[in-house]
Amino acid sequence: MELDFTLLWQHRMFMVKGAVVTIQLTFGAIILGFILGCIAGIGRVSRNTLFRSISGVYVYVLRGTPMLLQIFFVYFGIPQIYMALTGNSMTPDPLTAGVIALGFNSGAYVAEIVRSGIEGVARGQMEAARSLGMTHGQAMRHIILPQAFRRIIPPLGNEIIILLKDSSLVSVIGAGELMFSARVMGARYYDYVQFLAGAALIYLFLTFVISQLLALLERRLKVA
Amino acid sequence: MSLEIRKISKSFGGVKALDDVSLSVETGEMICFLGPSGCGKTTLLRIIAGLEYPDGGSMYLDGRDLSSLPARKRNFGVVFQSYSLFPNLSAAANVAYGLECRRWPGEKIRKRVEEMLALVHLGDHARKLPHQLSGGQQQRVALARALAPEPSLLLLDEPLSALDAQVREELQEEIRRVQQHLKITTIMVTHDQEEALSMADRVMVMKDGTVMQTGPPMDIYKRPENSFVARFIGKMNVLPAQKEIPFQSHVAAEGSRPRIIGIRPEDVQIACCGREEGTFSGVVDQVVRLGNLTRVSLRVESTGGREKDLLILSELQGMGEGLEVGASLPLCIQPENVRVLEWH
Repeated sequence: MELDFTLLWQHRMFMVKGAVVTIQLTFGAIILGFILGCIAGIGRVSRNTLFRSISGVYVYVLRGTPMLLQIFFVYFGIPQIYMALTGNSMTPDPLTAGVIALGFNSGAYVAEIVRSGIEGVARGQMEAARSLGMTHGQAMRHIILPQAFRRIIPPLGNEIIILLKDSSLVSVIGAGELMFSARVMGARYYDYVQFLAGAALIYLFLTFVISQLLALLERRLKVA
Repeated sequence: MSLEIRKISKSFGGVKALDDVSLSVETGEMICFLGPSGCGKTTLLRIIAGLEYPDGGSMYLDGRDLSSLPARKRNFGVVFQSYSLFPNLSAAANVAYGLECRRWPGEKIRKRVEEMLALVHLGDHARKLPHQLSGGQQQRVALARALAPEPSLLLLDEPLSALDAQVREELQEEIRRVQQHLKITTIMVTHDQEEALSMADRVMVMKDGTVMQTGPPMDIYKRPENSFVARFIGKMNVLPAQKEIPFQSHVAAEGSRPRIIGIRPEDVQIACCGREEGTFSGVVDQVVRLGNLTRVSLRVESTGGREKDLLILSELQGMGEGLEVGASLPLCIQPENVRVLEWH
């Protein structure tokens, strides 16, 4: 068999469009995941029992079930529940559903990253802050979180790369992201190799860019 | 400000860290909590600071009950063993922090920070970040930070134990100087007896969560009340009481007859007392010369019966010329230098 990449080149814009959707999915999900993760991560070490237990349950459930199930649940389950409650139908957009599912899932992992970042800051820092007259909340904001933030950058970068790759799962609900594009084209010409290889190259390029940006950010923060 | 501690107790998972500890600290006084690790001294300091809550007991600052006051409202300056400077803030910003929390006006903060850094001789390092400073300098910043908000009490938790010997000595003098200059009531925790004796107005010796003895350093040294204090503070010959060693009781007898006695090595003289009472004959067992000081262990043979040979340590000024292992020498113990540590 002869390997030929002319078809891939011919449909390059289709693949690039898929990659743009992948970037949108990843970007949207990491923003949602970061917000949820920060809230839940702080919740995990909160002194408020209710806040702490809600955060604990969130992390437990989202980490303990498959991501594919979560994607299906958001895309198919939520509209069904919505219909049962309101009587109206709802057709979610696959991209939005994907961002929500990925974001909520990633939030659980980010929560653990944030928690360990906070716990990694020496206990003496909180005590020093409190004996200088700060409240727990002030100490958290001014002293603990800025230090925790530096510690969470490397694991957070890891999480972004995982999320980028996991976004391919959203192809199952028909979001036209990179993996979906490769599959569609592969099926159309019954030539999977060149489209899968093309998609792989784009994924590698994206992860390379992300890791370079993160390395840059880490260096910047170290100097500061 | 004076501090009154009444019957404080604290357990950690069934283990008693503090057992009915009481103490009063006078205004402007510097007191050291001294004891081996695990004796509860740090726990007591942390309770005073409000970082830990006692299971029982009460505390009063100038007669005001402290129990319900959280750490941030106590206005105590705390210096930790691990410095605990904020790594993302410069030396000056660290010192300013407590003042910003108290909403001092900007100009006043700037002046105070300058004054505090000058007090600890770090005026030129104001802009440096903690990791650009040496351990000793970091601890100076921590001291300045603790003192800046004019705290009513200064609490030092083993502030010097992470530093090397020379820096430690320097800072011991420095802390004492600053403390006396500001006349601030101070509590310091240490496991270093030399540090406690040289710095404190009074020392509280602790063991297993209880107070063994409290008093001025020289009092504790001269008149230990039990064998723990005797052994922990300086060197002391702790011996079973024997008829031959005379003593003068400094305190009222707490029993029928003495059981354990203590004699400081410098009080064991290698010479005749000039009378029979208190004079022994000992054989030199070991000689350790430290330059200005010579330590001699002497074996005093038992006078028979069930009593064992006694090994007595003597300390002499100078190099101890002519002392040789195996030599038999007279030694003299004055009755007033013998402490009864335990009674039958």
